[in-house]
Order: sequence, then structure tokens, then C-alpha cells
Amino acid sequence: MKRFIPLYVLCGICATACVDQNYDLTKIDTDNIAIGDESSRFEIPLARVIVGIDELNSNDQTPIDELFNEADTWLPTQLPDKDENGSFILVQKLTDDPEFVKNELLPELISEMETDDAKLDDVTSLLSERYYESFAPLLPGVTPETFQETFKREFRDNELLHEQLAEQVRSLAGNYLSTLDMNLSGLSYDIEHIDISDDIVNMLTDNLDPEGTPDSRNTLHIAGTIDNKLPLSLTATPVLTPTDVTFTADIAANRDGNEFPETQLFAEDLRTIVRGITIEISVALGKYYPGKGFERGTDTDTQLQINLHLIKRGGLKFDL
Amino acid sequence: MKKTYLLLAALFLATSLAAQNPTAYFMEGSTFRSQFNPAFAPLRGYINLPVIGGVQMGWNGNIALDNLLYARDGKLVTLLDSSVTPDQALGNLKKNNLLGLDTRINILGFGKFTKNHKNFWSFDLNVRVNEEMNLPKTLFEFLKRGQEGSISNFGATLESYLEAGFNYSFPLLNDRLYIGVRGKFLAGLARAQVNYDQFDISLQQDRWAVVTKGTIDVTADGTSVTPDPETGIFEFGDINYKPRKPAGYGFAVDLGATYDILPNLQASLAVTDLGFINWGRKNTVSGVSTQEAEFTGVTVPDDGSESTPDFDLEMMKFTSVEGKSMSKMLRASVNAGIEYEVWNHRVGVGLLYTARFWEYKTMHNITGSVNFHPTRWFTLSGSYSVLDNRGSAVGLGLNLCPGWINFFLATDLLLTKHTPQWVPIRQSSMNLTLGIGIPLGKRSHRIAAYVRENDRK
Repeated sequence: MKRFIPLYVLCGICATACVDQNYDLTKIDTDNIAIGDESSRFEIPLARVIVGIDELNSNDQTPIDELFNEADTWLPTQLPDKDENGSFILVQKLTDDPEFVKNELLPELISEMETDDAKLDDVTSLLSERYYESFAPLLPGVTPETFQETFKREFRDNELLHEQLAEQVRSLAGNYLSTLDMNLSGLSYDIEHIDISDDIVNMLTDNLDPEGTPDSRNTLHIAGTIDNKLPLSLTATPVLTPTDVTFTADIAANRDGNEFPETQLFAEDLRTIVRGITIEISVALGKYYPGKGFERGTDTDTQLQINLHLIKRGGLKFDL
Repeated sequence: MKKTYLLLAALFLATSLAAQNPTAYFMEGSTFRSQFNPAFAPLRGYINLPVIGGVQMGWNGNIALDNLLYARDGKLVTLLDSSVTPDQALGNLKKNNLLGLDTRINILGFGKFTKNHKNFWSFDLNVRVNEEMNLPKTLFEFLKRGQEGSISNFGATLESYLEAGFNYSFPLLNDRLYIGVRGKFLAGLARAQVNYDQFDISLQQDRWAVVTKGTIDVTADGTSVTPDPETGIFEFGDINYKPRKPAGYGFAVDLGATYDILPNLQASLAVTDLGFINWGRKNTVSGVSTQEAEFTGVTVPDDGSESTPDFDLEMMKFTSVEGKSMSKMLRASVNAGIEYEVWNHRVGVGLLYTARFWEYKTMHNITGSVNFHPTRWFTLSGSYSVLDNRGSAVGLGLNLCPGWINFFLATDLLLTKHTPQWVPIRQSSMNLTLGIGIPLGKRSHRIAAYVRENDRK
């Protein structure tokens, strides 16, 4: 047996020499485990806010389509501004610039009524429907049944009365367009709870870089798109209360997928959002494209759809 | 999700040791050798010391520790750590990553030659624990890259049983052929199997979804489950065990033969663990996981539909189904060897082919061996194994049976880099076989007479 002792020693030396202390299994660190890495980007749906046409009312509860249908009549067909979506009018300019209305829009309206029978018919129909009594002093003896025929005849053929009728039209149109009630209010939506588990929330938030970290890599943002069927460009500002999260989005008319800027969230923001929030949306109107929307129907009542999702940059934390 | 990972991590680390040790196959005279082929016999009769009389542990698979753990800044991190890039982590993984544990501990063992010194019988009582896991690469691709995808065929099995075997071998054809048979009565202690046939994950901007189809079966005496009373769903932690007796019984055989083609050239062939255990129904807890969940965000104003449970990627939640008895085949092995002796039987050169029929895949192993036995009571073996077409392990084995002790030790750990806990780092298999016993009776006459005569001098 003694002659084999060197063999045992050799085996012992080999065994000892092959130990790699870097692989000490008692020192396994599992604190930094994640799905993906710092270059990863995950997106998760959050909420869809659907704004129906019935919710878009003026302060006096006039539906937005009625509001702009009358404006369509008062506005000349040829508008001074045009872009790739068509001719438009800046709604804000109607109220803020009476000279523009008086000197550019109304003369064009009267001119179109003089030359375009269709426009004259539209205006006459509106007058008959809503403003018949305003013309009683100018058209004595006219009845509602004979108003449209009388108005069109006198407007075209009676040189003396034409200007008076035109002036009355200018007055009504100018007053309407200059005082267009554009304050869409009451867009408030409660989300009681977002159906994602605490584990998912933790995966999204546990390894976020603290606020103020330069060149953050593990970040969470709220982002999304807005689908807009309205013939109006808008500036929407949703506020997610009780968080301080808010963003402002410029939304083109008649277009889906208007992106709004990413807004950074921190862990507590997301936890609050998941527990339940109220989304209050203030809307300012921009360009109006006459004749391009306000469709009502079973599947067209949705005029605005706000699609919110989360963007997680960096890995999803895996908590062991 | 958390428990899923814990399970994976636990299995990774628990599945640490391996199957039949090919280095020990050609250790002539070892009392353990008949476990490879019941036609083999030791140098003398024996009685093993309890527990340490024969221990075999093995980790065989196609993935090495350094594919799973990485040294980073003085720490050891898993491949899921964010400091390990996806390319690093995924580069060394296979399509299916297999890990298998096979442990055999001899509780009681003794054997003896009959009067002719050639017929040999033995009895062994062993505890066997087999564990196996398959982790497809697509699982890690999801975890490392966050890629959505369809992950299938991943799971783990564990089986533990007592094995009481009686072995008898005898010569034929004028001692050129030896036949060995071992009949084994099996008492199942515990069994568990978790398998996912489908685990689909979708991580889109507008939709997160998970679809799982999995099963769990756990069998052990006194096993019961307490599912959530509202949902009927249970997790691992809800399974209770009170094992006091076997939960299943079975039978298996080992069949083997050796044949001396030439006086110095011997071929051997064996099939081991050919049998089954029938696990009882009343001790089985079964469940299915058929989760189909998606989250597309909430819609406001509410569409009036019923609220749904919170979305989670959680797996390992099962709906209880009625357990049923089932027969499970053991993981059989085929061992085929050939050995040529030179220099008056002092040096042998051997080649061994082993096939092991795992739950998820059949693993093939070819081992070349050089065996040195200057005297009959001493054998030193060196081996090199190729596992599933890949270079695998260099092993060393030693068998001593000088008259008052049987001692054998074979491992492929000595010459490979390993952790302080003796787990190989770059090698995808690890084997350790050792045993101590007391020799009994006279020596075998199976070996050539000229060797025996030299030995007596």
C-alpha cells in the first residue's frame, strides 16, 4: 500500500489545484436578475379612453356636430387657408380676429350666395329654420312657407333690398362665428383599477433609475396615440389625477395614430395609476375642416380614442 | 413568476451530480462493477459498509456550470443577471438543455462466490434518486431578450425509490461466456413531474398574453393538496406530504453477458434498469395548468363587461384534477464494452458505449479507458468520455482489495476545473463512485489461470 502513497498525493494535488474560487457557489448573487438587458424596450398596454360624439358638447350642451354644421353654412366654401387635409379655418381666429371675419369671410359668403345657387339654398334654408323672424321687418307679409322663395328672389333681383338682406346675413353670420362656443368641457373618466398584478408592476418599477439620474437607462414612460375622427385639429391635455402626470398632445384632424410625447413615470406614479385614477382631458380646438366629419352611426360615434401604453426601457426586474 | 424562477434555480443547483460512472466500468475486481453489467463479479465475496458501501452520484447533461453561472466583479451571477449579455448567455446554450441527476446509495450489500469460485450471487439494497430537467433555449431567449415566442417541452421529473436486487451470474461455453441476471424489487418513495407542453408569451404594445398548457403529478405516501377554496387552484406550496410507506411498487431486471472472444479480448453487453414502478392513485396529486390570459389595457368608459382577474405571467398554478395510478418505466441503460488485455493482463485498453434513455432524450456516451492492474488487488483506470458527440471528461479510478478491505473510487473531477463545492465548471458531466466494504471468502477463478497463479506468488 505504501508504494501508492505518491499516487494519492498526486491526486490530492490535482484536485486542489483545479478548484476555481471564482465559482464559489456560496457567493451566487441574484440581486440583479432581469428579463432583457439595458438595451431592451418593453411596451405594455395600459388604457383606452373612448370619447363619443355625444360627449363633445359646448358649454350650453349643444352637440359639436350641430355647432359646426351651422358654421359650415355661414362659412364660405372657399376658405383662405389650405393644407394637405383641405381648406380649413382656424377656430381661434374666428373669435379672436373680428376684422378677419368681417373683412374676409363675410364678403366671401355674400359673394358666393350671389353666384352659387347651392350656397344660397343652404343659407336660405338655415335662415328659414332658425332666423325667420329676424327678416320680418325686411320682408313684410312673408310667411314661413313662402320665406325661402321670397328671400332668394329679393336677394337676387331686388337691388334696393339686396344690400339690406346681405347686411342682415352678415350680422347673423358674424355674430355666430365670432362667438362660436369652443370650450369642450366635462371630459373626465374614472379608471377604478388596471388589471395587472403586483408582480407585473414590480417587474416594471423595481429597477427604475432614480429621478435625476443622468443618462438613465432603466426608465418608464407613458406614451401612446390618439385616433381622431373629428374634422378638427385639437390640442388635448389629459391630466392623470391624483398623480401629477400630464402631457399635451397636438392632434391632426381626421387622422388615426397621432402620437403624443412620452412622459416619464416613476414607481409611485405607476402604482397610483394601477390602483385607480381619473383622467381629465381639456381640449382646445385648432383647425376646422368644413364638411369632413361628425359622422354618427353605430361604429362612428367614437370621435376620439386615446390609447395609452407604457414603455419600459431596460430589463424587467426579476425578484428572486 | 417568482416561484417559477425559484423552481428553475433550485433545479439547476440541486441537479448537481451524475449517472453510471464510465470510469468505473473497467475497474476489474470492484464490487460495484456488477451494477453496470450483472455478469461482472468482484475479485472476492464482500459485505459493504452501510451507506458508504457503494455510492454513485452523477450529473450528466449537455450544459456546463459556466453556461449557467458567470464570475462578475468578484461575484458569481446567473446567466439571467443583467450584466450577462444575451449573446453571452445564449451563445453556449443548446436547443434543449438537459440536466440529469442519478444517485445511488447502497444501504446494504453482500455477495459471495459459490464453491466453484465462478458462480456469483449478491444482494443489494439501494436508494435511488433520479432527477431530470429539460430547459429549451427558447425559454432563455425570452428571459434574456424579452422576446415573445412559443416555448414548449420544458419540465422536470424526479423519482426516488428503494431497490432490492438479487444478482446471479454463471459461466457457459467452457467459461468463455458469463451470463448475469439481477432481479429487482422496487418500492417507490416519491415521484414528481412537471411538464409544460406549451408556454406562449406575447409582449406586444397593445396586448400582453400568456397561454400555458402544463401538468403536474406528485406521488408520495400521504400526499394531499389544499387548493384555494374559491378558485380551486393550487401551487407547490399547497401540496402536503406525510410519507411513511412506499407509494408504489415495481419490478426491474438487469441482464448482462460477457464473452471472451480471444483469451485477452472480452466483450460485454448489458441492459440495466429494465422495469417499471406502478405508482398508486390514492397517493397522487395531479393538476393541469391551462392558463389563457391576456391584457389589452382597460377601456373607459367601461364597456360593461365583467371584470377579469389581474393579468400575470405566473405559471406553476394548477387546477386540481383527479389523480390516477400510472406505471412509469425506469430510465434504462445499455452498456456495451470491449477490453483488450496486454502485458500478461497488467494493462487493459477498453472502449465503452453507454446509452441512457432519459425522459426527454436518449444520451449517448463513448468512453475510452486504459486500465493498469499490476496485481489483482489493485486497478488504476484512466478514461476519456465523449458525451453526445462532445468532448466531456477525463476520469480516474482506483480499486483496492488487498485482502482486508474493498475500496474503490472513480471520478472525473480530479483533472477538471471545479468549484470549491466540487461541481465541475466547464464539464457537462460529473461522476463520483466510491465504496468501502469487507472482503469475504476466496478469490474469483474467473480470470485466466496464469494471472491467478502469478497473483498467488
